[in-house]
Amino acid sequence: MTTHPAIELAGLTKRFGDVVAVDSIGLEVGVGELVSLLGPSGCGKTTTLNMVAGFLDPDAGDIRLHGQSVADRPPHKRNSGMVFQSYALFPHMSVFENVAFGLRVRRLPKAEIERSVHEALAMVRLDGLHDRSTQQLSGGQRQRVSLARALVYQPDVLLLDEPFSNLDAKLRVAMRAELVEIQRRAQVTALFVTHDQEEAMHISDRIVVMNAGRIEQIGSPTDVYRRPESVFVADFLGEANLVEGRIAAATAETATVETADGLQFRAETTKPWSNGDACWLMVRPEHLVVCADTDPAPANRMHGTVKSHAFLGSAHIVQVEAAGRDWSLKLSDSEWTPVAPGDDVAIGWNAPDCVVLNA
Amino acid sequence: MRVRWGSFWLAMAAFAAMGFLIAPLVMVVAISFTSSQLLRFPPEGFSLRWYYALIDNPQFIEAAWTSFQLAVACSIVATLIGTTAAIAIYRYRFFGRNAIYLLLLSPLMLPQLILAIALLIYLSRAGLPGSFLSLLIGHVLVTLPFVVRLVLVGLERIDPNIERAAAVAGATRFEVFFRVTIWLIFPGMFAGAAFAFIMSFDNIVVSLFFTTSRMVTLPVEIYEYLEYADDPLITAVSSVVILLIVAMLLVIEKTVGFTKSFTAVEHG
Repeated sequence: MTTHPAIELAGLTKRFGDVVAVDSIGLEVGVGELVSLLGPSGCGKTTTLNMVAGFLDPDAGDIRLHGQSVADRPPHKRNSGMVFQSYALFPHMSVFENVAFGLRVRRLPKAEIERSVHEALAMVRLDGLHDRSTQQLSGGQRQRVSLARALVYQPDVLLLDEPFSNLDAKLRVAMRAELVEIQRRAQVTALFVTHDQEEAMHISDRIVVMNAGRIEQIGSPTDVYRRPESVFVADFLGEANLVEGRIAAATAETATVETADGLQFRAETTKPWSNGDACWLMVRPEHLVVCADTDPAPANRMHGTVKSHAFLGSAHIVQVEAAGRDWSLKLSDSEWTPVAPGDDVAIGWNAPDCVVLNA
Repeated sequence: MRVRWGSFWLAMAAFAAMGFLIAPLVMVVAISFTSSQLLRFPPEGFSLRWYYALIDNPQFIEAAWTSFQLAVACSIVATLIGTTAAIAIYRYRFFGRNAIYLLLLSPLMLPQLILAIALLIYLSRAGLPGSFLSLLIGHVLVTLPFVVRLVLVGLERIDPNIERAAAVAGATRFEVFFRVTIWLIFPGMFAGAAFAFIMSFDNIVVSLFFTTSRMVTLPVEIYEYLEYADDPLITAVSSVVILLIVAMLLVIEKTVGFTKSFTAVEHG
């Protein structure tokens, strides 16, 4: 017996006129996994989700849920649950009736509906609010009702379309942890669409980074952040210092990157490079350090001038001009040695902390 | 300060305009209590003689009953046709969609007189001269544009994700419509029905062509009475109608929320 992935997209394509919104993407999501589709607006992530839900017909390719092709099925025959950014609650129904909706159209017995709705409301910590009108609820409560409504009939997949974008910043972060907990407990496979990289990193088992209708990279949050495979992914996930150059020397594990103005940086790499390959070097701001002259020198080191400094509470953001370009440093408050604009400093980073990317 | 004076004058202007609109109604009600024979303002003395006279003229009560039945029928038929038409126009892209939309709205732009003459010729050839049915057809025709417009506005306000949420949760298209959509457009449908009722009850131009000696609507009855008599009886009829309509609006306001339906339609 073979086990099928919960969601399987194969060569999925959608065109709007001349624009290819989703360009032949392939993806497998395992049972119980939470996978995010992450990308800027217009990258095709929402179009992909709408095809999985059945609101849009794909122009090519297939969608399989637990091994069954659903591409020809209308939304109501896919046994999926969906949570929308706009909550999309039924305004003429109470909280209870909103959650009960999926069970009522499934013609379940009254007692079972009653029991399941109360269980679902307890799961999203809204027990006791079942009599309320949805207009009396806060944004966070509304989104929890919508989550309960989507989970109460035990769907095969849970689809979430930027569900927290309408909430204020603090609540948004709190809801992330809650969503992960609820999703684990419900043991439901989830496909989560977002443009917020921090949100995707916080909740996902795996992240699918999308750009211009294609998948740029699929991997765990650690993978896509630490080992991006393209300049786009490096730049889209968090901050990145990016330097263009060519490979000056390469071994199996290391590469030396030379910039147009003759600077050389050393990096560790797992990819085979040949001399002369065009490439980009990427270092995260938090991997750059200000180093005193007495420190054991990091592999890569430069002198420069501090241009600006900002304190963000947990970290300091420092802009340093060195080797003809600006470098962004993110320094934790606990390791902070004061610098001021105009100071001459040495900055550097270790070879394993930077990534060489294809140009 | 300028702003305050500005809003003061604006308020005064609004009250003046309202006074100008309501004054004739107040005059009609005042004259209905006159003790004189003359249709003249200000009224002389105070009496209920014209209300007693009204009871002695059953044709007015009969006409009012006809008008009421017609208005109810018209508002039901116009709401059913108008709602389904609005949904088809909003949801589907089909050949002739714009043409149908403009045709449905055209009674708003055409003079009712022309519409009524055309309809009279058409219905006579179809073997339907003056009758309740031909009155109903005429009234539905002139009230339909309002229902279509109001329901369309209601449809445009719906967050499409609400219907999608219902579909994903397992509702068929039929269930989505009857469990969700219809409740979301209810304010628009209700406002349309109310509009159709009032416009039908009030209509005279179309009615004139289709009333018979046995089937007369109230506005036509009043109009015909005025042709040969000019006593204050007519003001008593009008006052009763005003009272009934105000009472109806109050009941609707208390039960369904009339202003709510309209503001929901207007503001979204």
